[in-house]
Amino acid sequence: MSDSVLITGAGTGLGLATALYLARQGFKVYASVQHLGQQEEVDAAAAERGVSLRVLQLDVTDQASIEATVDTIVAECGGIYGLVNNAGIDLRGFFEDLSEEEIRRVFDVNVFGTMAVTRAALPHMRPTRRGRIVIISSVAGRIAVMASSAYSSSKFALEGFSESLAQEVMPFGLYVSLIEPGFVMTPIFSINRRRAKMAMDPDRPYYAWFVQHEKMIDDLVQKRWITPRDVAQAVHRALTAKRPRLRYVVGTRAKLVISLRRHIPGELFERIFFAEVARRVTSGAREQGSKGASDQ
Amino acid sequence: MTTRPMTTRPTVLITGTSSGLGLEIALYLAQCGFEVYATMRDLSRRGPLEREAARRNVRLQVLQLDVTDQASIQATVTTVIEQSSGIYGLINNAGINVSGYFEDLSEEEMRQVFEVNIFGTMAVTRAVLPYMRAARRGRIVIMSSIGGKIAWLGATAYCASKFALEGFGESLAQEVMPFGVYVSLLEPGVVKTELFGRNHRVAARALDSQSPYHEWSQQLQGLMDQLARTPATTAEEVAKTVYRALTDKRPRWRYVVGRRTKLLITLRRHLPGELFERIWTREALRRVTEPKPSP
Repeated sequence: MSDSVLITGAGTGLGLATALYLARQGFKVYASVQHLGQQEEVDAAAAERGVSLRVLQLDVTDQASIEATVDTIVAECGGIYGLVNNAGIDLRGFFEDLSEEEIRRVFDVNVFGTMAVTRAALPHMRPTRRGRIVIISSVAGRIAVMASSAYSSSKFALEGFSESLAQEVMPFGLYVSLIEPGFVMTPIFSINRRRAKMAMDPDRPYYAWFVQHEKMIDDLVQKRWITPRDVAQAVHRALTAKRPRLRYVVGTRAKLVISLRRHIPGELFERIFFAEVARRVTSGAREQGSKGASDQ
Repeated sequence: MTTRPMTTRPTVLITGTSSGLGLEIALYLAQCGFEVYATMRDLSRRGPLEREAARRNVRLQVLQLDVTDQASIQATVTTVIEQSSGIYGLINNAGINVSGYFEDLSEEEMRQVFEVNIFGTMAVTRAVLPYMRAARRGRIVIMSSIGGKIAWLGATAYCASKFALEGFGESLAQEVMPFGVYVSLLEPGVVKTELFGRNHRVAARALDSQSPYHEWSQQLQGLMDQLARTPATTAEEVAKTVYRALTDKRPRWRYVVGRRTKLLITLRRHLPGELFERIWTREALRRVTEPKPSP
């Protein structure tokens, strides 16, 4: 029997692409979606590619739905081989423009949600003495840029969590891998892009910079540096490699930036790269003639 | 003593000063001439700080502040603003640890660590920033840890929260630099403080012999106790580094404190590929996991 894989947030973007790709590679895929309203779309995409997968409802912030889904899979397969923690949300805005509630929501989904699903799946992975936990992080889990303090902080948290967890479960034959994609053209950067409410208020001191920074991000995303399929392939490697890596960076540019950060001595990278972004954002805002930063 | 001439003594607000690093930082900065507002959650525990302040003959203000209580943050920040020349430095030091293998940590225990370490730090920072921006100068110091750069087993809550602080600090630094406000992360190694004593909590289930991780948790506890007896870093070194972050003309993004800590972080950074991770994991498993628990 083929190995079962549970993927969270499989309704759109990376999750959907990964679910389809893994189904094609022969995994028994459980594509979980936050709302069953997304099922039709996933089923249609699967039918179009001629692959079969099973859609289940799972909201990573709802413990009951997590348990029900895990129980279903265990009942059908006797265990879970792979867990792909993909569900995640973004939040754009300078820190002072983020409400505490908005930040908590990001952590509830990205960090506590990932932990909750992992906590539910682990007891069913340990007894088989083989299994893979894949956590979709981001380049933002390695390098934090402005206007993304909540998102980056949550992705950094996932990095620390995974690194620690990997050591804890390795004696059971379980491997934990982080996937770190650069910018991908997915709904999280287009229609799903979540902006903090206050960030869009022209009276806020950061407004002009935020608008400028959003433009920069738009340009970056338009370049489509990597595709969801690249990410799906990295997930597949993490699920199938004999000795999976702890981290898979996806995308040539993401690799370049991360390795520059790592190997340029001292804090030169921070001083050059971050300073350059800041320069573009602040000078861009000035050129736009929009209201500059003020001390409110 | 300071890099800039001061007409009035610059004010610093420090969280978590009833013991350990916070206590030492408060005393040291007061000795260096800062106007120190030393805050703690529980004022009934002010004794050690006040006694030590009297012994060293330094003056500081002790105020109540619970980083998980918005009202107490607002009240204390308002008090400091009214009494002083504005807040020059904020030292986000308050932090807790609940150790235990991930599967032994309840969701509640995990969330408590994030409540204090992350949301607490963010809440105090949020309350102080408007005053720093208005003054067009200020320093925010965030107490991270070697655990914010290198994670170890039995510490998912602590390491995840410290990693999160690293991401937060790095992002925030870029956002507020145009206002003349600098953010620095401090990364000390294991320090002999109450974080490994009174403030060190162990997940309830880690003590349950039914847990599949129980024996490993015991082994790990022994190893951590041993490390704490030969600490990599002293509280005084950390306090001196905080002083640097407050006074360096161009403060660093990160200050690693302690020679052993620096060595580890440098190795992690420069060893090729995942060699460091493999060695680190193998060592951890050899010391903690491999002495097989039961026959």
